[in-house]
Amino acid sequence: MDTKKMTSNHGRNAALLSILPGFGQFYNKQFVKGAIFLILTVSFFAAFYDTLNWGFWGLITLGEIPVLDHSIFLLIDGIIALIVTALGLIIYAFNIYDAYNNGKKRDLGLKLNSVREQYHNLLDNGFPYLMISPGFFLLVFVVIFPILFVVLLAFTNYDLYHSPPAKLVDWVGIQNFIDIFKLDLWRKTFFGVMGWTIVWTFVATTLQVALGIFLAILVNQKDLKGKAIIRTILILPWAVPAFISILIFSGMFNETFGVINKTILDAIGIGPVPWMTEENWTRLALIFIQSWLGFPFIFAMTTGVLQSIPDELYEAATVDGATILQKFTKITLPLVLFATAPIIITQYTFNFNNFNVIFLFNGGGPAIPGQNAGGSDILISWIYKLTMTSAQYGKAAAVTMILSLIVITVALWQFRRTKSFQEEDLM
Amino acid sequence: MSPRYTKVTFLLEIIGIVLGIIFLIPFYFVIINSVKGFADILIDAAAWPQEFLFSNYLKVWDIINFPRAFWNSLIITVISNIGLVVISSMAAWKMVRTPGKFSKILFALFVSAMVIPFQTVMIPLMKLGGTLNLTNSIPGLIIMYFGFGVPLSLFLYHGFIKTVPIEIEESARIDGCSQFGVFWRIVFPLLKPITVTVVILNTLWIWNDYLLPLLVLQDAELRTIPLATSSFFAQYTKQWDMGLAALVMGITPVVIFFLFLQRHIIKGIAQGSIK
Repeated sequence: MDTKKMTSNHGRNAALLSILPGFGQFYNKQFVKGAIFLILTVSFFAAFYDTLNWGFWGLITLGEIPVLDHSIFLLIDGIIALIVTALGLIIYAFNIYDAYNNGKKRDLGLKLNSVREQYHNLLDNGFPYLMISPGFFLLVFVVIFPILFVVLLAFTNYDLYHSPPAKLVDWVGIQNFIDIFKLDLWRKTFFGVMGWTIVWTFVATTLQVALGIFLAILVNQKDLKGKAIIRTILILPWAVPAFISILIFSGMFNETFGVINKTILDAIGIGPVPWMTEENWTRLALIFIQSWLGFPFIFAMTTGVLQSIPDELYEAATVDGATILQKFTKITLPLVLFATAPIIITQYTFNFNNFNVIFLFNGGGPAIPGQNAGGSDILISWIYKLTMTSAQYGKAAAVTMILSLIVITVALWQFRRTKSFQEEDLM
Repeated sequence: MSPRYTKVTFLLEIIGIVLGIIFLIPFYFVIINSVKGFADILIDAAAWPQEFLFSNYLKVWDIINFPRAFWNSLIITVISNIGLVVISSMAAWKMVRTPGKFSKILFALFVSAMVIPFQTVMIPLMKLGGTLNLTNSIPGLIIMYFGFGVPLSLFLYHGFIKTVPIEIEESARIDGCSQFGVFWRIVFPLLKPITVTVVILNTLWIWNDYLLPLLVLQDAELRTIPLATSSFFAQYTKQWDMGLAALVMGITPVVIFFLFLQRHIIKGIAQGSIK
């Protein structure tokens, strides 16, 4: 500390004193504020003492007596205790920070705010938090809580044989992850599913993006007649709930009475194709369906971008003698790709987790001997099956964690590159 | 140079029309089969119906109690939309206007929530929802839509608000307008374009959503249109005749909504994505 300028150490003293909440403020002679902090602290412990005590006990032991202690409910209580503690710590940190700041002000010989000023300050500075808090609490409840639950679950042996209330669940460390990579059945399934997930993501998404952009450019041709109608038709698949379109497709691809085998392929003279029972045919059908489902969004977006490209650009190019192909590769495509890049990447992450189409078309099937996932299962639908049909909760949570790590890495990489964040850095 | 009608454009037109027809095939099957008997569908799904059984529609209307399902879907969609617009526009506004580490961290938190797949959180969410009595109730479902919808809506508002000049707000503050007043009287009207985008995206998502209502709502009374429709498509017995009729009834409102707002949708999507 710079001793020449500072003759007093109010900042440090106040911060140290406010280890007991409120006393730092008392030290700064801000009695009302100090009292509020003190009362908050006392009531926090009074209100949450049982919750915290019970929650942390449950979190550590996951219950001691089967039937009486329900491990999963204890886990939930434990997470609530964690969240409450985190909120408490934030207030506590704010208390120390406030005491330190005001002490610093006294060190510098500044006047502290009166009670009335503090009140106004609170209203003004607190207002943003007031506005953000509803969204924040919803996020905590709907997203953060479940994530914590899954993360913790991945380190337990929660499955059919350890399922409460009859049995207790125990912490097993990273056993689930070891099993997935070491046990033959699990390793084979995991890498099989992972491989198809990656192929699926790249092929299906690239196809739907290419189709969307191609059609948008096609329909946007200046002298094309009936644009509005064609455009409406092409966007229509988006208006239909995806699960319904998928069900319809699964009817159309039905091996015995579906129109594709019975009418369309029959007319060309091709015998029935085993869409639902042969792994690779199912995959092919899925990729086709996904491009049908996914292109309208890209189409709509590209159309919007195309309409914002000024005509002068093309006119100038025409004057310079550019061919249609040159205009396309030098003007249209770069502009479209540049503007839509963030959305295109989101489409990849979306398809990576596209549960609906996989699950509703063929239930992830057909079944494959020697592994516990179906032939067209991607990671997310495999997780769903592990949880819903074979009750492998612990393993499912472990796979979920691996999957989330992949998705979040890609997403962070992507958002760092989007304008939204770059502008943020400039501010 | 003025554009001329060339062979190339003629060819493109042909390709456009052919693709348009290919993409319409599924709609053709849905509509013609919705007025056929069950046996006829199995015999030849592609054929033109021999007799038009509009009674399918009447039966479906009664079986799924269509007015009830429609009302449920409407209530859920409207209230979720209003809530999402209010919550996320206010939050985004304040996050943009209070720059700093805290806002940045919060924003990153919201954005990363956008990419968490729903299937990974749904089971714990149902467990928690059960303990808080939010399952099997429409208000509970709406609260969950608030939670899942806030990240994207906030992201879109956040991008847009950065382009709104701060000067007007400052002068209004100097004139003695309260914070709430500034927001609702001055800022919110300026946000209209992005609000339209947010409402369209959320409406399409919520109206057509299937999995979340399936998990949350159990009573037949509370079913939304997608849930009611799916009741004809059980795992082993698919009642195609009834199901397809229900389908046509269910998608008609969205298609109308879509056709009316098509222009806004195209403009809005581009706006939301580029910002």
